[in-house]
Amino acid sequence: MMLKSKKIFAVLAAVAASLSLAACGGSNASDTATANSDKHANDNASCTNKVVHADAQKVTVWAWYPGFEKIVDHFNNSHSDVQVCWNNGGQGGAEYTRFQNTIKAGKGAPDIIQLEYEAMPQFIAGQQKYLVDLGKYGMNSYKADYTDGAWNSVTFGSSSSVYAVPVDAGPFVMYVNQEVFDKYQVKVPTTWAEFEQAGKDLQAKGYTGKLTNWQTDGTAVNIALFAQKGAQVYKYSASDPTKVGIDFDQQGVKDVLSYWQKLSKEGLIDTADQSSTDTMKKFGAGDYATYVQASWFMGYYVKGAYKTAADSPFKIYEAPKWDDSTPDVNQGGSAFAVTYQAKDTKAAAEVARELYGDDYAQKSGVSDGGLFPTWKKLLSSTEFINQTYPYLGDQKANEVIAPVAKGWAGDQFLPFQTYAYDAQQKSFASIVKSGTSVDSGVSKLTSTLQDYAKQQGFTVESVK
Amino acid sequence: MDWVIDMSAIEHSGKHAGSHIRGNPRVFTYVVLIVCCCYFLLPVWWLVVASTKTNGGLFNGSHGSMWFDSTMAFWDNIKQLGTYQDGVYWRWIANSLLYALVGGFGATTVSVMAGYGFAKYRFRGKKTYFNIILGALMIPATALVIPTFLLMSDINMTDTYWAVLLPLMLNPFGVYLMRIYCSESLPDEMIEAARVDGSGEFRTFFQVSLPIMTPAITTVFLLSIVGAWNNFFLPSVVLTNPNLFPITVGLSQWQTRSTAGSASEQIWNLLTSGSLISVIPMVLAFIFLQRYWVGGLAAGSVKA
Repeated sequence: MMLKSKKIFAVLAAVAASLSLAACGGSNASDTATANSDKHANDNASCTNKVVHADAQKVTVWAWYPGFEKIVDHFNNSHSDVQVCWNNGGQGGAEYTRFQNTIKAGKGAPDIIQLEYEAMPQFIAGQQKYLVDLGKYGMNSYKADYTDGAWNSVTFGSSSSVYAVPVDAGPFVMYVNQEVFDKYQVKVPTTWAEFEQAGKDLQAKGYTGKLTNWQTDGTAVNIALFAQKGAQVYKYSASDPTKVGIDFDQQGVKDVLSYWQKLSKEGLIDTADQSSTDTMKKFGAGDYATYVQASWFMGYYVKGAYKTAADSPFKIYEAPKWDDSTPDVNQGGSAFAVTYQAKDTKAAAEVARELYGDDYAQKSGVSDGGLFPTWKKLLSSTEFINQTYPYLGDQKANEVIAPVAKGWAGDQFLPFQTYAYDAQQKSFASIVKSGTSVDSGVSKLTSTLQDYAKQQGFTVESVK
Repeated sequence: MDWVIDMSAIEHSGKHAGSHIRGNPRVFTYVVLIVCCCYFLLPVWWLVVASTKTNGGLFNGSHGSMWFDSTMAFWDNIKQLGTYQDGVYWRWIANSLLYALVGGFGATTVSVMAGYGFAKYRFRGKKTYFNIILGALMIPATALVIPTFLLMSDINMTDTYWAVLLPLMLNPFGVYLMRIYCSESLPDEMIEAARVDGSGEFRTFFQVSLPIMTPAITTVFLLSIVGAWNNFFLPSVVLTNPNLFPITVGLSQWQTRSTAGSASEQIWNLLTSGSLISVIPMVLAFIFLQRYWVGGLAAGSVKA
């Protein structure tokens, strides 16, 4: 018996060893993104879309934008020398994991990949850069086409390097349940002080719902809320990729968290997960008077929660401000990056820029995809500003949103943003929901993340 | 068995007054079974109800989540399943059938042959090989997915049907089960007798051994089919082209499409109706295969 189990352990050990070998095998696959120029490597790639010009060179793309098939068809119809071969590589985290796997394997990555702004640092951190510097392919001459915030989000503080082509963004606004405010005759708040007062007034006049929901899992929302108070919590620059800045221990962060802690104690707000269907149900049932969120929230909740557009009582207002100097902020958005595995780097760089680079594609992105553009030309067009939204009572919502998009300066994120979000979420939930001390909470969070950064081999610097 | 004895005891004692206490085990059994039934069927009931709702109805419908909404949208949902993304849903169902049938058949074939070999032949390193299989049984399949991906990538097989099918064909549990079954229910004497009568090894295997192994084969086949139908993690890693997805990966992609932030599409109604339909083949598989399975296993147990 002893002998038998020993043998089994030996076998297990051997298997485990071969596993770890396999896992290590791929990790030294690349150093820095280099240029390739094989025009025929993608000839046999399998695509979700139809390729119009079968003989032309193919460029592979992973993207999950809604309505992206139209963009692909438009591109392939209008180009005869190059064709897009598109697949949906998964959405958000699922796609990043898949990309990591192909990095380990040293092959299998697409030429062009859709990445959220906050996910990009993890692929350009340290010595290994998996995203191509598009600055070397003339991207800098298109700087003026994009909003400052979007441009800063793909350049990481560099004046010459560009790591992706901006596509969409999520200007931070306030969704207001107009029926509730009309019924109880309460003025829609424009400052955070008025916001709190509106909650109290609504409650006093008999509204049984909550003023809003502070989302326990609303990680990026908090970054936007801090940015409103001028508090930058993360710092990361591609030109100095071994250094990161992390600091929650600053007055702006403390002010924001204390504010929400107070609202929660006063029973004015709900503290439920954003990504639960239960929250969406409450939203549809009129249990929230407002929702302070990115503009894309419309596609996410408003359309989901109501049977018809006419049922929706929501309208978009500017997000509440602290004072006149409160900046416009943003939550979310994504861009097209070119991977180090791109078969023909130069062609991929051009396609990445051209995919959403004309009027048709930009308009389709807005009307078929529900994206909020970062392309200045569209942002300023009268057609865009005058567009009405049925789910918002035919409001010309872009009148409110477009200025926010233009005012946004850009945010910075960490090369281990997922880990940071997890830590952030735990800390803030205990502060706002359970009433843990703000001071000790933020200092503990800061040291936790700084320690993790050091473990990962980064040098921690000041965020200023 | 106990239950049968109790039954007869109840019938006998029923004639005597005041002995109803003996009937309690039966009531208790029913209560437990009914509770179990509700526990397992409630989610299914929810799925049936939810598949008849529109997207808005799912969140904002009348009569709550456990009853039908005022608008009945089941057929509409089915129609949408056929048109959304060019009807890729039915392609996923077909893919799942392919993976389940080919994978299930392959896994069963390999298991039966390997199990039979382990049970009935003596060869060098037999114990070591079997221990390796036992070892493989102890490693969760999930842990092997990334190494499998890297291997597949090395031989340029990612994003092909084979990337899903090949790993499915190896079912250590099936081999283990077949070996146990063969050594318990298949007498060596019978194989000896066949050999003495001049039957070759293949003929012995196909005509003498295989019929006796039917119940175990059905079991392994059913388990492999179910395993292949529910296979999620491996295909989600090795496949990128949606035209190759099985239904599990496809539905999960639709779900992230509905929950993900930026400009998402709301297709919860397609998710619920699509999930309902995806359950049906497995229900059918159980209904048709269970009679062989249960009947066969019982027959085996009596003989043993």
